[in-house]
Order: sequence, then C-alpha cells, then structure tokens
Amino acid sequence: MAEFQLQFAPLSSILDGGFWHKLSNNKLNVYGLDESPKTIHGFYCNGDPPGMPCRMNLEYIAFDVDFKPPLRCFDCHGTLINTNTIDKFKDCDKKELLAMVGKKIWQSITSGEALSKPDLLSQLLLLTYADLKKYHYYYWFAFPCLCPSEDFRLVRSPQKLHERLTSSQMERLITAYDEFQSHHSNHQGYFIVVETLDDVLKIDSVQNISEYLNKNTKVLFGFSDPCTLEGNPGWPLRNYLALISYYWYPSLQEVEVLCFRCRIKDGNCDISHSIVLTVKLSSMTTEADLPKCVGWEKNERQKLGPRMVNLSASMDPVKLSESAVDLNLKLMRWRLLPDLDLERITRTRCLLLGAGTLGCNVARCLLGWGVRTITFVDNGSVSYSNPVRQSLFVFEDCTKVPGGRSKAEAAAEALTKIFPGVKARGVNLSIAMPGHSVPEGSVEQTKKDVQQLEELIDSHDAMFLLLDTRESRWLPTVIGAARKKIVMCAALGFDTFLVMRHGVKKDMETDDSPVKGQMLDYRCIPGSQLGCYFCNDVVAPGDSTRDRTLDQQCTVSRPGMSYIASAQAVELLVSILQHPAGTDAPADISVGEEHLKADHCSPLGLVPHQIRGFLSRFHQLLPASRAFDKCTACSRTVIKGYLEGGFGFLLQVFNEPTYLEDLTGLTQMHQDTIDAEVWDIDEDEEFSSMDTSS
Amino acid sequence: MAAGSISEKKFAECAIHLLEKSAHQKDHWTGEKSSSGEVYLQKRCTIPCQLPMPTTRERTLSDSQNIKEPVEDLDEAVVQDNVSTSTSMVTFVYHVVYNASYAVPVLYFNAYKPDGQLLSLEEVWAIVPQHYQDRLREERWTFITQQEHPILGRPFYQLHPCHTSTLMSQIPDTPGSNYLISWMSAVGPVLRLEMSMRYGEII
Ligand SMILES: [Zn+2]
Repeated sequence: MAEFQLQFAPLSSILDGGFWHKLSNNKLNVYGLDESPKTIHGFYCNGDPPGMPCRMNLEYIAFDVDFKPPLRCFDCHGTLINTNTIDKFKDCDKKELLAMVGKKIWQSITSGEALSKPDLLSQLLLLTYADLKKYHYYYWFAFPCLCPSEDFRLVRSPQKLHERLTSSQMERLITAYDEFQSHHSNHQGYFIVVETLDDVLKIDSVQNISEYLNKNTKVLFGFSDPCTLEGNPGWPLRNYLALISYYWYPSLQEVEVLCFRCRIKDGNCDISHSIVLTVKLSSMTTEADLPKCVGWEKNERQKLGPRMVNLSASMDPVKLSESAVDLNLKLMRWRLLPDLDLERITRTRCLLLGAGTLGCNVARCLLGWGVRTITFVDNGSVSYSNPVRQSLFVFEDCTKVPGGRSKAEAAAEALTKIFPGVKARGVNLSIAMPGHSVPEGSVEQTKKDVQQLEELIDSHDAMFLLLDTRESRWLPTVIGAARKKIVMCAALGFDTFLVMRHGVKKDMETDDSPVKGQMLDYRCIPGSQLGCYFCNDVVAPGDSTRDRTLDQQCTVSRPGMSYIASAQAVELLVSILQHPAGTDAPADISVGEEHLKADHCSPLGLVPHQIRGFLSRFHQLLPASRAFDKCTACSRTVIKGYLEGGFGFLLQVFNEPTYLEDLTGLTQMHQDTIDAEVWDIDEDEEFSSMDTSS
Repeated sequence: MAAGSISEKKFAECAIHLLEKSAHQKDHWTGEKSSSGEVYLQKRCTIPCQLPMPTTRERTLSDSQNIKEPVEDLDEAVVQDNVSTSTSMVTFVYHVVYNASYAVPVLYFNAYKPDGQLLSLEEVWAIVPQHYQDRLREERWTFITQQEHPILGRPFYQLHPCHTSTLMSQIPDTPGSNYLISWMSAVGPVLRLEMSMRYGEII
C-alpha cells in the first residue's frame, strides 16, 4: 500500500477537584500576584480500555515538589502560568508561551539530555486564571510537540502486536518490560525494544541504543501509549520521533515503533492490542531557532480555545453549607420518611410577626427545616434583658446603638450569620390595634403601616403570630384570613402555652355553617372550619395594656416555655405542609386519647388544631374547635367589612372600642347572657392572661 | 466487638493485607497517611460514564471566547473526528477510612468530570447501576450523603455507615477471609468500584 500521513491522537486533559483546591490555596498563600512559570506535573497511563481518549491527568499531587506518578503511570513535566486577571489570560501571547515550552523540549533534545532522561520529551503547559470570588476557573492546556519539516509518514498499515509476536514472545516481552521498569523509581514512558536473531527480547534505555544498532539485532523504538485507537499512536510519540529524527535521520530512513499498551485484568497483563508502526522519518533541521511547535488543546466545542469551569457548588463555603443543610434533611427522607416533601417546606416563605423569644426560636427551628425565606416584623429594639432569652441576640446588640438595635434587623442579620443561604429580612413596623385609637396626625402613617403589613402578608405563604399582646394579633389575623394564608399562633403564659393554626376558610362567600358531607365524620373538623385565636373569646380585643398592673403588662414566663412553644409551632406548620390536604387537614376531636391511636394519613402524623401545654404538670392537650360565627377576627361579617371597607373599616375598629362587638353581634349576645363556658375547655382560664411573650 | 463491626487494629491488618493483594494483581490501591498520622486506603480511576445531562453545561465563555489571533500553525498530523474525546469520563477517587464511632470502615468518594467539576448528588445517583438503585430504595442498607472528609476536610460523598455492621454480620466470616475485601465486594459495585474475583483467593 501507499504511504500515508501519520496522525496522532491528541491528549485530553482530565482534572479533579483536588487540583483546583490546591491551585486556589497556592494562589492565596504562595503565588500571590506572582505570574512567573511554576512547575507542576501531569501523568498518563497506557492501560485504558477501548473507547477511552488519550488522557492527561492532573490531580492534587500535581503540585508536589517530589512528584511521583501513580503506579504504572508516566510523568509529564508541566509549566503553570497563572495570570492575575482575565485580560492577561486572554491577551498573553499564546504562540510565545507555547514556544517557551517547545524550546525546553528542543534544548533537551539537542543537548542530549533527553537521551538519558527521555521523560523530558513529555511536557505540558497550563495557562490559568482563577476567579476566587466566584470560583470560576479559566484554563487552557497545551501539550507542545515539535514538528519535522515534512510530516512523518507511515510506510505500511499499523500491525497488531499479536500478529507480529507469538504469545510466548509477548509473555517474554512483558517480563522484559517489568524487569526494565523495576530498575527505575518511576515508570519510564520511552524505551527501546531489542530483538536478537536467537529470539531474545530485551528492553533497554534509549541512551544505550548504540550497543544494538548495526549489529545483528532489530531495534524497535517503544513508548507507553495512552491511545486506544487501532490505527493511530498517541501524542507522546511526536516528540520521541523528533528526538529519533534529530539523532538518526537520515542514516535511519525508517524505524519501527512499538506503541506499547498494557491492560491489566485480574492481575494479568495483556499487551496483544499494542500496535507496531513502520514510520518514515523526516528532517528536524530548521533555520529558525525552534522547529514548528503545536499542541494547544481544543475545547469542548472542538475549537482551539480556553475552557471555563464553575466550581462554586463544591468550593464556595456558602453553597457548601446550603447543600449540607439540604442533605441533612434528605437524610431524614431516605432513612425514615420516604414521602417527605422537602421542597414544599423549603419554598414556604415565612413571615414572623414579633422578634422576641418566640420569634427568635421559631426562626431557628425554621432554618433547621430548610426554610429559606424568613422575614421578621417588630418595632422594638434589643434591650439588656433580651439576649439571654432571645436566642438570636448578643450583648453587643444592646450597646452598639443607643437604646439597642432594631430587633427585626438584628434578628435577620443574626440569621444570615448562622446560615448565609437564608433570605432573611427585618422590617421595623408597628401593628395597629383595635381600641387603640389613632390620633388625627398619625392616620397617614397608620395607613402606610397597614399597607406595608398587607404587602408583607401577600408576599409570604405562612405567617406566625408571635406578638406581645392579644390585640396586636387582631389585624394580621383578619388580613391572613382574608388572604387565606397559613396563620400559626403561639402565646405564652407563666407556665402554660398555646400553639394553634387558624382555620383557612375555603370560600368567603359560602355560609360559615359546616358543609353537610363533611359532618359525616363527627370526630374530625376539616381545616377550613377550624377557629382562629379569637374564636374562643366572647370579648373583642381592646386596650389590654391600659388597665393592667405592671406584672400583667410584662408577663414573665418560665424560660423554657418559649423553646417548647416555638418548636411546636414550627412542627405544626411542617405537619400542615406535609399533610395531603394541606391547610384543610382535619383536626381530630375524639374524646380522650383515642386520636393518639388513629392511623396517620400524613407522613408526620396528626395535624392538631391547638396544642395547649401545662408545664406545671408537663402535660399537653390537643383540643380542636370550630370557627365561631360571631368571631371578632375571622367571622364572615368582619372579613367582609375589611374586604369592602378597607382602611376606613380598620380605622373604625381602631378608634371605636365597641365597634367590633356591635358589628359581630357579640354585644347582643352578652345581653342574652350566654354562658361563656360553652366555648372553653376547663383549662382555658389559665389562658385568659397569657398573651404576652416578652 | 459487636457482630459485623471491626476494631481499628483489625482494620489496619485487613488494610495491609488488601494492599498486598492489590500490588500482587497490579490493582491501584495505595495506603495513605495524613500529616497527623491517620491511615486510609485510596484508589483512583477514570472510567467512561454516561451522565444524564451533557457533561459540558452551558458556559459563559464570552470573556475568553474572543481569542482571535492564531495560537499556532496549522497541524495536520492530528487524528480528526476523534470520536473518543466525546466520551464522557468520570474520575473516581475512593477512600476507605475507619470510623471509630460505628467501628466499621467507611467508603468516601468523589467523582469528577474532566474539568474537575464534582458530580452532583443527582448525577452520582444516575451512575449507580439500576439494580443497585432499586435495592437501595427497597432495603435501605446504605445511602449516599455528602460529608466533610474526616482527614482531608474537603467535601466527599460517603456511603453512610449506619447499616454496615448489620450488613457485615450477615456475611459469613470464613477462615482467611478479609473483612475489608468482603465489605468492598458487597458495597463497591454500587459506585463502580469493582473488586476482582482474585481478591477472594487466599494467598
Ligand atoms: Zn375566629
């Protein structure tokens, strides 16, 4: 057959995360702004299965001063240029860089050094720019090769080694190869194979070639070939042929080359797929000071150009903490609750009204569940007594600003410090209250505040009422009910607490009375028919701070209460989110402890309406009650009044103490002397003065 | 030692034995020692893997695309249409570390795309052979999670050790058998870590 051009399979760079870690460390701690060339190492192997590209690996060890390639792998000497800017990376002279390494190779050939150390033929160049703020790495490899004046040519088709050698010869070749390599501390990628007339196979160093040339022996130039193609050699042969041509052309016109490939299966070497080439050499003489040099790697689009990799997911501490939090929760799903819908929890945006002990602890617990959007609303500032009970504050929050920092803002900032992946916001806002009349001059401000609260409630999915006073819970309860948001409520007494979810009515237009079909199961109240915080009261919220003694104004609770109630409030929210019916999840009202034995239809179990805790007895009850049709907050009359009358309606409520009771018919009811006990369960009295949480 | 668990001393013995066998059959396990003296086993390998999504995601290379000047002379001595370069390759790094609280070995691993990008947990799952995915889902004898490497301090995936001792107590302890080899033969294939049958030979 005719001669044809010898074509080489290019090397593909393969990096691991450890390489980039080490480069980042070196940039920060060693190189600084130094852009001068640095020594690194790559390695390649010759044992890959078919279908794999020729690969050049660079790992964590690439930067080792006493680099040692992994077992049966071959060293490639590398030059790293790490630029300080992306512009430098783009604009630096690529030809000149390539020539810089090309010259190294050329010098090692012409000086004869490469004869004794042929691994010097194997060189790489790596140009990088590391954007350590974004963890973006720009890089471009070159595997420089020196080209002859005319391309090398193949004299005949490549021959498989098993067509050339018998299996016994191949076995002896393997033994000779192992013997040769055992004399070197690192495996040698270049060698010669000597075949004597009496069928002895020997492998020796290139520098000993004169002992065999012109004798009755056949000399093959061998190299460890990372290529797996049947018809082509891999890249490392190019500079070897340059060396061979430089020294022995034209006295040698043609040489035989063994592309040595060695696969290991169950401890046995297989070299039969190696190939033997007969190559027509070419002149390396050049008028320039360097032969033509090529070798830039193509990028993923098969163009000569750089690549970029974004490693923020595995290197950015913020991203790492986010994925660690997610994984921790996923662990719960894998191990215990395969039906857990974590997405549902994570994407629930939570509005916390009140950044006191309840607010702080609710927020921390929400973080634990992976909630990513948390907004605090509070109009107070951090005072000296707060940090010991309110788990997001520290002493400095009281002293940094005269009078203390804004609670809402300090809480949001603390949350971000704990977990930068959270979207936390603090809003300093007062909440208008029924019976607390708004002075003429403050109407505009109150209107703005109400509007802001409405916007906040609109932009969140769930709201926690964690405010100090009962009446401050009224406005958010009304807006929450009108907007059909999830509303969680927690309140503390001295040693009692209440945690509850507000019923989310299905449609304001339908009658408040229960739908017939849903009455069938008398042990359950559907979530849409459950009451709100005010449903059990037969008095409208008024100015509860006015007639109270100091003690009542600032109710003190046992310090552990807030932790218990906050945790229960968050867990109750999560239970709602995980229930197939969501906010319509029915609450069990069966007598005694029967509901504790009922089957769960949610992976997290029951979704009670209320949790009432009595710390003096370390006891909890799970009562449930229907919405009260004369409720001053969630009844149809009030919601309708709010939806139709807007701020004008609210202003009336704020200014006229009896307006709500008149509107809802409570006034009438009081006159009819209805026994308030109907609406309460025994322990309820203990809650009558438990609205304060600070 | 509780059934299915192993002492640190025994772990070290098994590790040395495994390294001997690895060297004997030219496998790539190495014994590594941290600066503080902890010992662990390591193996690395690059294998072709089809990932669910293209390995090269949409990149914003606009900054660096515009390199206009020719960077080198025309080179015709290159294999054209090199099909094999399009193969997606994944580089696995396996570490076997002793965990004193569970008293079992733990398999840590990372898997990288050619550009050094760590595979996401979803991508790792996608390369777990299907029948192991099914088994893991049903039997839940282990699961993959990401942890800080106890020695290197970088994020690594791990096969969680909580059920290792249960699993190992079901594998009969025959004379000459090596705990680490039995365990790795059982769990390794989940993560493309193949143990040659010859590890079972008694030498
Ligand atoms: Zn109500």
